[in-house]
Amino acid sequence: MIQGLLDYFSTTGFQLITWKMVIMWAVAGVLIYLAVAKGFEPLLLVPIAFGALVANLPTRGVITVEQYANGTTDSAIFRIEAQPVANGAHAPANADPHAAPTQTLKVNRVEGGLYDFISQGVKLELFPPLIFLGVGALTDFGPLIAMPRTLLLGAAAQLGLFITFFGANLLGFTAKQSASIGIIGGADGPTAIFLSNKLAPELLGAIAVAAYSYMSLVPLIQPPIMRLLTTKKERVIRMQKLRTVSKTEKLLFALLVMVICVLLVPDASALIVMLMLGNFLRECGVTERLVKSAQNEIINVLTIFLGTTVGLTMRADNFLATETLKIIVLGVVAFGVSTAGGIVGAKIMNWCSPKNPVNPLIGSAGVSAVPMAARVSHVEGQRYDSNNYLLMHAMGPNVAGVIGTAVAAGYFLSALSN
Amino acid sequence: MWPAALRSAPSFDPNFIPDVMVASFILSPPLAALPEYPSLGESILFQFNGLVVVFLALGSIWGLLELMGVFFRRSKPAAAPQKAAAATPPPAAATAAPGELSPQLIAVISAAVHVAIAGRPHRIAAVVPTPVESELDWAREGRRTIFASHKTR
Repeated sequence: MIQGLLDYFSTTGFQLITWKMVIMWAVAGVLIYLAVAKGFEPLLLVPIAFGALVANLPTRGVITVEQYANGTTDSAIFRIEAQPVANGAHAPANADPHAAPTQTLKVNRVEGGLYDFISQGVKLELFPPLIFLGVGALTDFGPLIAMPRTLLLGAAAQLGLFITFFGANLLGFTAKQSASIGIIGGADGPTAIFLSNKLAPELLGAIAVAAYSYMSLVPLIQPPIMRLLTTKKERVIRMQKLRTVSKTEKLLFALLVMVICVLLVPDASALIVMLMLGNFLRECGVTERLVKSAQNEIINVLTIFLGTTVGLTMRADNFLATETLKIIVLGVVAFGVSTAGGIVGAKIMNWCSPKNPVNPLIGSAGVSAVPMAARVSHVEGQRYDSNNYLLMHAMGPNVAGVIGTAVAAGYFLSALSN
Repeated sequence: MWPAALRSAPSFDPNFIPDVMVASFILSPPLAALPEYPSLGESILFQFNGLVVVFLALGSIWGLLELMGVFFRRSKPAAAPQKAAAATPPPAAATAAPGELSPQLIAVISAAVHVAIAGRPHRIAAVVPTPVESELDWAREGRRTIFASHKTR
C-alpha cells in the first residue's frame, strides 16, 4: 500500500517545484495584493497575477503539451504538424507518410494545452488591435478636436520612449529590446505588448507587467514631477471653455487620423485602424449594438485572455533575471521622462502663444493612460484652485497620447523589424 | 541610381551628394539597418528621427483639425445671449411670454446658484441660455462630476 502511495506521489507535481517557482508565487502574491487590496488596475493585474501563478505551477494541459523523452504526451493533443523525412532530407513529394511504418517524421510543432491556443491571440498580434477597437469605442475625441493643438502635448510626451531607448541600449539591451522597453513610457499596455511581441518576445512578460504596473501607479508617479516642473502661477491657469464639436467633425476626424497615420507609419496600421473603427462605430450613431459589444463584451473577454496570457509568460526561468530588474527601473524612467516631456511641451506652447495659455498640468496627460492621467491633471489642478476644471482639457492630450504611442510603435517597427 | 540627365551632365561628379539628399537621408528610414548595438551617434539620430515622425504625424493631424474647425465654426449660426429678467422673485401670478424665462425657472436657477456658491453674498444679473448645440454640456458636467467623485490614490 505504501509503495502504491509512493508511486502515486511520484506522479504528482510536488517534486517538480523549484525555489524559483516559489519566488514567483510570492511575486504573483504581491501583484494580487496590489490589485485586490490596493485597487491598482485590478482589471489587468488580477488576470496577469493569476496567469503568473499558473505559469509557475507544474500544470499539465494548460500551457503546452508535456512531451516525454519517448515521444509520448500526457495531455490532450489537438494537432501535430510534421513532415516526412528520409535520412535527414525531405522525402520525395509523392511519398505517402502512412505507407511505410519505418518512415521518420520530423515533428515541427505539437499543439495542445488551453493556453497554447489562447496565447495565439498575442503571438499572432490579434488581442492588442482588438482591444484598441474597444478603446476607440470608449473614447470621446471631442476635447481633442475642440483644442487640436493639444496633439502636440501628446507628441511631446513620447520623449520618454526615445530617451529610454538610449538608456536601455547603454545598459546592454539590443536595439529591438530597447525599443520594446522604451514603449513602456507611452503608458499604453496593448501597444507595449504589440511592439514587444514583435521585437523582443523574450521580454514580453516583464515589459507588460512594468507597463501595467506603472499605469496603475500614475497617481503616485506623476504629481511630484508635475509640481517640480510648474510654478504655482502656472498651476492655476484657467483655460478657455471648449467649443462644441459636431458629429460630422468627429466622423471626419476618425477617417482623417486613420488615413494620415496609416500613410505615415504603415506598421502601426493594425492599431490605428482598429482604434478608429471603434471610434467611428461610436460616433456614427447607427451601430449601437456593435458599439456596446466593443465597449463591453469584446474588450472584457480580451482583457481576461490578454492578461492571463501575459501572466503565463512570467515563467521563473526567464522572469527571474537581472534584465527584469533593469526593465522595471527603465520603465519608471520612461514614464517620468514622458510626463516631464508633456509638461515642458505645454510650457513651450505657452511661450509661443501667451494670449491663450494652456495649464501645463494637462501636459502630463500626454502619456496615454486613459483617463487616469487626465484625472490626475484635474485633481492636481483643483488642489491649487478648487474651481478650475481641467478634466476635459486634459482629455485632449490624453487621447492624443494614444495616437502618439501607436505612431511611435509604428516607427520602431518600421525601423527595427527587419 | 543617378538620373540619366544628371549622369550625362558635363560637370557630373559621382561623389557629389546634393543637400536635399542629405536631408532626406536623415528623415528616411535608413535605420532599418540599425545594428543591434548602435553607436552613440546612431542612437541619437534614431531618437531624433523618431520624434520627428511622431511630431510630423500629430502635427499633420493638428493642421487638418484646425482647418476643419475653421470650416465648421463658420458654418454654425451664432447664438445670441438672451438677457433675462432680474433674479428677484417675480409676482406669483406672473407668466412667461414666449422666449422668456418663466418665474418658476428663474426661482429654480436662483436656488441652484445659492446652493452652488454656498450662501455667499451674490446677485444674479442675467441668465444666459446656452445654445441648442451646447446641450451636451450637461452630459459633460455629469461626466466631470463622476470623474471628480473618484478618489485618486
